[in-house]
Amino acid sequence: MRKAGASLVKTSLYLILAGIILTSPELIRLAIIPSVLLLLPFGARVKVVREEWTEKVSVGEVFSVSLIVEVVGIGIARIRHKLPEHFELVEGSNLKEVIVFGRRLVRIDYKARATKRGYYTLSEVEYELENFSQAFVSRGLATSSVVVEVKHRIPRVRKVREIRGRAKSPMPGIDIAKIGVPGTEFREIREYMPGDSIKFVNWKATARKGKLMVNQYEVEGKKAVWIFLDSNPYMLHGTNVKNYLESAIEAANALAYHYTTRGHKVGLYVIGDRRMIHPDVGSRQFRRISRALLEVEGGKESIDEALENCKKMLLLYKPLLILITRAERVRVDKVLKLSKLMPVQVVALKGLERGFSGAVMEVARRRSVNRLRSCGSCVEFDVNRPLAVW
Amino acid sequence: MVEMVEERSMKTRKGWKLVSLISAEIAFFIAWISYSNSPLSSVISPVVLLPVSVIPALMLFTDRNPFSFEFFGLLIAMVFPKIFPSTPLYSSFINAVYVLGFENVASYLNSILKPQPATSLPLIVALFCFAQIVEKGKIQYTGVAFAAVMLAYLIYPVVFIPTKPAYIAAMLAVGVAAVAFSLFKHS
Repeated sequence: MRKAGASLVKTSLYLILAGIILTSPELIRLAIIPSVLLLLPFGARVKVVREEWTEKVSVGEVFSVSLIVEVVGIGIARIRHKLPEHFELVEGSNLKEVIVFGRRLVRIDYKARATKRGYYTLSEVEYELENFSQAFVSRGLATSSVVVEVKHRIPRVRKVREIRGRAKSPMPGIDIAKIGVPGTEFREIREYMPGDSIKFVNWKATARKGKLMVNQYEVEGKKAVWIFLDSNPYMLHGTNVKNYLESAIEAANALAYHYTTRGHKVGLYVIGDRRMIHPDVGSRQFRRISRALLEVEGGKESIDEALENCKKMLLLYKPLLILITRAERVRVDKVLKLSKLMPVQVVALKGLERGFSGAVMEVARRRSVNRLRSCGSCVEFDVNRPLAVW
Repeated sequence: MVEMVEERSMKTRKGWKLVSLISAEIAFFIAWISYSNSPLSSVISPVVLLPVSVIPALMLFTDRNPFSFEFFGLLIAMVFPKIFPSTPLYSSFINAVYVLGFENVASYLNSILKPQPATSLPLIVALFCFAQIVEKGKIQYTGVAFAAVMLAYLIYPVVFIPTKPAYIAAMLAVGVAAVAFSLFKHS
């Protein structure tokens, strides 16, 4: 019941009471006026009959939704297509208010902007129904099948030209894969190991050495790239829309696209979410990574723990390991130790710290970055500027 | 965007307050005319009651409901001298005065306070109900609210066709009020 309804009840009771005390049938009779208003009928059935929307958009892009809702009944109806908190209304309105007397089709047209990546199910159409005296209200929910997939844009990766320090393997493009299908390019003769095909046995070398020797060929394909994306709570520094995690996801998406289109095997591990995608090639792999990035929620896991979890696979592929995190959170000695086994690049995020605490964090970050850069394994990424990579 | 919404809501609020103020002033005018025609106006001059009309405007300036429940009570009190002489309470009061030995006073009161029909009272109640409905609703629905109130105003005498209207009405009204109250409690 609304305030108006309560007020009508109060008026009715007041008139009855006054009529009884003063023995006035006139006043008692008048109590029926507010009561009649309370008895005005209302009720409706609400159903979404037609819906059109833009299914896939990028973060920051405007998309349109058009719904036709059928309302059958009597009363004042307010219909609202519920939007997630990360959506910003740009044009039109997701709320319509109409007077219904019988059957009425209500059209809701609006344009909104998605400010955060993810799958959004906009299935709730809330409605509120009031009687004509606006004294009573009933609420309900109709369903729609609107689902919007908001992806990160894939920014063009710009080259960074001035990385100082000794670069160990800054260009994975010229490296070859550690594992894969053997090609025709001869590499070396080595001892037979269980699992080697019999067709690779070098019989002349076997006769000469007195033990089974096989020919080893270079494997086909380019070097694998494994992106480690940090999604620990400290990555959520910033606003809901603009924070380190969102920027890291955008960077990971761009890097995955960059390397998959150049024929590299690309893998992904989300530190915190413990989500792993094994390295593979092709646009399908990029889509898989992109979808996984949409679902990143974050969690708690140390970088060391994550590397330990993937140790076997890392030793098998010996990939270029790209770690996207905040440099001040990295245990530099561990990374430097790891860089002796395989090329490691740390993408250090910066740009969201403010004030005195920001200055303190900046000092810590610079210290880590300088140490990592001395081994040529760190690139800074200012989240307020376009993405760049070595 | 927030400012626009805020501005629109302010406009709506001002809109319904103006409607409420107009309703209150019309209701006051009806009540004042009714009082002027009542026998009590010869005892207390109607001019004395004219400043009461400023109350809704003052309420509007203090950002409160111009047609408040208290103001409605005051208007009912202004109209009541017209219907009071027709009540059993008044008759018993006159009888008591007479029995207690004040025959002259009883005769005097009986001569000046004659029962009169109070046709304006339902209009005041209807205007008050209208102001309450418009209060939180959208100003666009003023027409709908007015139509609903007019419907109630026209329907209510029909409900009293049965022979003992007062008792049936009282029972009905109490029943309706009880149902409405329980709905209010549970909503």
